[in-house]
Amino acid sequence: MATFQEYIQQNEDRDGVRFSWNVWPSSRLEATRLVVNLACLYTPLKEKPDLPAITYDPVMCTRGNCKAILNPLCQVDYRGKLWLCNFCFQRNPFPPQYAGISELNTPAELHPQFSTIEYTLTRSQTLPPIFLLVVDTCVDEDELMTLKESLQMSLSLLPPNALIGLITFGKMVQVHELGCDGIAKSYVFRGTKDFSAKQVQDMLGLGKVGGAGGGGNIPPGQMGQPGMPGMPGQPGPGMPPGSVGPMGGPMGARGPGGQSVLPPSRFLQPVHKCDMYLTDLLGELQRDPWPVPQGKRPLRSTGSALSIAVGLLECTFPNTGARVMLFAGGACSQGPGMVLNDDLKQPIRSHHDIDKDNAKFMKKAMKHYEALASRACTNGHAIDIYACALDQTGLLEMKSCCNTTGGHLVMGDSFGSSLFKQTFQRVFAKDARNEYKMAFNALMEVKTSRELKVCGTIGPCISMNVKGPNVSETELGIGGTSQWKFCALGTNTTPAVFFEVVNQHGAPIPQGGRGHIQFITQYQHSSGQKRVRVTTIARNWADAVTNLPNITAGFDQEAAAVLMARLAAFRADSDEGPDVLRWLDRMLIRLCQKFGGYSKDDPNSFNIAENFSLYPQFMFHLRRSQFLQVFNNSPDETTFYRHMLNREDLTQALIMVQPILYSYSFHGPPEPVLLDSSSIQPDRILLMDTFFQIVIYHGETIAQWRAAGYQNLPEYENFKQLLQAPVDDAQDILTSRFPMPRYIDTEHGGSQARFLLSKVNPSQTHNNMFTYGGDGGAPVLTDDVSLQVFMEHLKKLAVSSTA
Amino acid sequence: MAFRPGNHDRAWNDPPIFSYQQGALSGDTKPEENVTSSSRKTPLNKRIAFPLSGGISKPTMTVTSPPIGLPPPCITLPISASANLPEVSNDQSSKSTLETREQLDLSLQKISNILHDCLKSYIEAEKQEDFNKRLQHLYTSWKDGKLNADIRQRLTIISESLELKDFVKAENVRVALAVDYTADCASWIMVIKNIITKMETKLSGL
Repeated sequence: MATFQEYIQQNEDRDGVRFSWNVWPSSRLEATRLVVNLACLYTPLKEKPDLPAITYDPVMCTRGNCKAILNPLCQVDYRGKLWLCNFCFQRNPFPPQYAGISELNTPAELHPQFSTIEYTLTRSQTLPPIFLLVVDTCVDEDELMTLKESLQMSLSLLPPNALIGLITFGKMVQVHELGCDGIAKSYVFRGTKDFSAKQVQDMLGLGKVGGAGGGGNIPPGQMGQPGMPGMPGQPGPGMPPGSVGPMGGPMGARGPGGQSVLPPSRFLQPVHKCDMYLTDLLGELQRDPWPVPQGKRPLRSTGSALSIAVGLLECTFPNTGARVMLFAGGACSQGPGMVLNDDLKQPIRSHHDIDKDNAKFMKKAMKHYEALASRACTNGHAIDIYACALDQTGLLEMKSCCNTTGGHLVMGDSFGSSLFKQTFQRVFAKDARNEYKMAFNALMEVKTSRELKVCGTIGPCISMNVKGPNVSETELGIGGTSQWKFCALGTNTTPAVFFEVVNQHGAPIPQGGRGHIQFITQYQHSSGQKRVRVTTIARNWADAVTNLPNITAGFDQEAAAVLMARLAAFRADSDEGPDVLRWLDRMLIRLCQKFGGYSKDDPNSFNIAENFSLYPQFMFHLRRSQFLQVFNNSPDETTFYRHMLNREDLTQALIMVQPILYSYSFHGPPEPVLLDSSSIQPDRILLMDTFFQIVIYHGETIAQWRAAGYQNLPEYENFKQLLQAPVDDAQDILTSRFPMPRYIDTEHGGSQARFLLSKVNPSQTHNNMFTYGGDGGAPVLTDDVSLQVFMEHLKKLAVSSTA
Repeated sequence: MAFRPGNHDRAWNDPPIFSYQQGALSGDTKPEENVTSSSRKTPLNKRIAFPLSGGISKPTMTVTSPPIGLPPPCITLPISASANLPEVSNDQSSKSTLETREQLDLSLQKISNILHDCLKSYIEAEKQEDFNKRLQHLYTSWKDGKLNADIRQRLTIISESLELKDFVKAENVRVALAVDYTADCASWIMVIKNIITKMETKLSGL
């Protein structure tokens, strides 16, 4: 198995892809018998500092319904200057600029190590990214002050040529004009109403939508060069002389028809031009002035504010990368999208309320935000939500804003928390080349060999409804298309893509013996360049009837676990909880029946290959995770956790499914230990990473030594080092993960120890602590089934001849 | 290393605050801050499989853990070294306080001279008055002792970088300053940003 593990890792490092099966069953029937779907997790913008800079356009297959891109898997006729498309087998001539290629002189895109490659489309210009801040002022003074500080800080982190705008809301919604000298101006909207894009456009005095000079119809050649702001008196290229083109945008003072249109950039200006004005404006922001009567909540018009923000961008900068950044300090309590009313006696809905159909605002609110999300997606605009409050803010209702656009969803307790502040800083994180990690307005397309079809995607994207020849009738996740849009994309964003084998049972192995998949992701880089990332992979076909061991050896249990987790969470959004668990259990039993070795009706004979050995454990922890067990979480928390599961790469998602646990003691170097109550020992420190939390738990003896202060005495320097070791190891995670995890320092008997106790397998509980025997670790007070009991039942069911 | 603890008044289990590092947010510690016995950090990426055959065996590191009440295992230190250490450090700290007091005004003078020259040479006349007013906030805060040593040091580095025309360094330090000490710098940090940008633009011939 070591070889296949290495193969899997190499492929992930090179292409950012992990498949559930790395040897593919050659028939549809056999594929369904494998239980776990043929699917992959793909990270389109995986950080690859070694990628060569390719500044020419990709060469495409000339067949109209193919258009796959030249790649290392294509056969090439160097003499005839032809290449054979590995998807449709069309013979394509090389373009004239490839006249010089030969076996000894091949372009990068034909080299095997560049199965993933990136093209920069130098002839396509885009605008710099746009950031529209939408800020809740119905928060207390301290909250508002720390929020303002974070927003001021972001002005130093934004790309200097990016456009920025500000909308504040409380009972009313205010759209602020930027860069006006003298008195600050803003346009005020009622928070109780919904506004269409046209109404926003009219009320703000913006140009016509889609008409001359108003919308984004100006072809790219007429846009200003990014990085060259339109200085007064200097129009951008293609603009009529004399027109003032503030920030080379598509709008000038005069449209082609000659009519004057007010430049919409009054509300969206380049950061470098308005940074000081905006710093002062933010500094002077006041709390929402409307008095809140006793027993009432403040009237917060989140839905209306978001609607205006989406409308503003829709009519000024359609079809270009933008982020609406919503900062919410509480739930929407009036107007469209309200999730509760202003009566404090009526709390926000819980899971129980939703189950009993007692959430009266929910459906209507969800519809409102879904419609907004859809409009934003059409224009390539992402919506981020930064929600900081001790109570719920309505993330459940607003989830489509982030889940379909790819925007961030950050949940914190307070804008004053370091969790929010540092998470927000990391939105603007840069890679090793000092370029922003965020990308915009991306389209991902999947091409496949004709033996494969695409069933769908689970990830932070929306369908483009492109019904190409490789789109399957079966839908899994967001299906019915071979192309999806990600309005915002990061270096970790990882959609899961599901496939279907369509070869008939008994048909021969396809010619060449390998199936091919190509991912083509066009996106807007933060610098304004348009880039195309192309990943082309191949895997062997095998006949599952005669060659099952070959297929079995290529099983990637980690990928399979994350894919099943996403499928389960996807189902849980619409199906009943117990039904999802039953489905998960059935899949696991079938997998064990298919791939386990056993004698019928003899559970003790059950065994399974090493590359399957962690999978039942993953499923056990998934069943009891917050993704499927909603008890003890609010609907907002469940929404947040599922949102993160559906976008992170494999390593991070797997940590969410089954946390990592390391043990520190005097008796050796730090080592991984079983996520089990037996790992909790008095003389050990445990470090648990759940993705959302870092927990450092001090065993009873360690805690007593720490309380006695031994670490402060010079002769106990080694104890000080032991205490420091997990803190240091956690540091890499704390300083890089997005979002920043909570940090819990606890000890035996501490209340915060519950985070560890709720995750470990409860092999020892109050029911069996005296029968289990001896030094078994700390008992967990639960009636949950332990992994041992789970495995015993699983083995029994798997080997049963009646199951 | 963590810069400050989290805000436990407003948020539970708030993580500690780390100093801002542009580009590489991997949190590499400086060697002198690393107190672990091995300088290598443990990558936290492995899991243990549950044994299919039976129950969980006792932890392999069965420890004869000392009974509660006994101290942890200790190391012995040479006695003479530890006795001398406290005295030496005291002397040094009192010396450094004196030196800092003397140099504070000098540092501020130097910084304000450099910024003043930059304003005069590179900023449009109509903006100079506004920029000067904002910089006065900086100088007043400095004189009133409202800016801590870290901020003062970073400002010194920025002004020295401006003098040497090292705009990349100046901007990097400025961004880190703006992020780590937003509240203290809000009123004047954008002036410095504008100065750096203007100087860079003009000197690179654009």
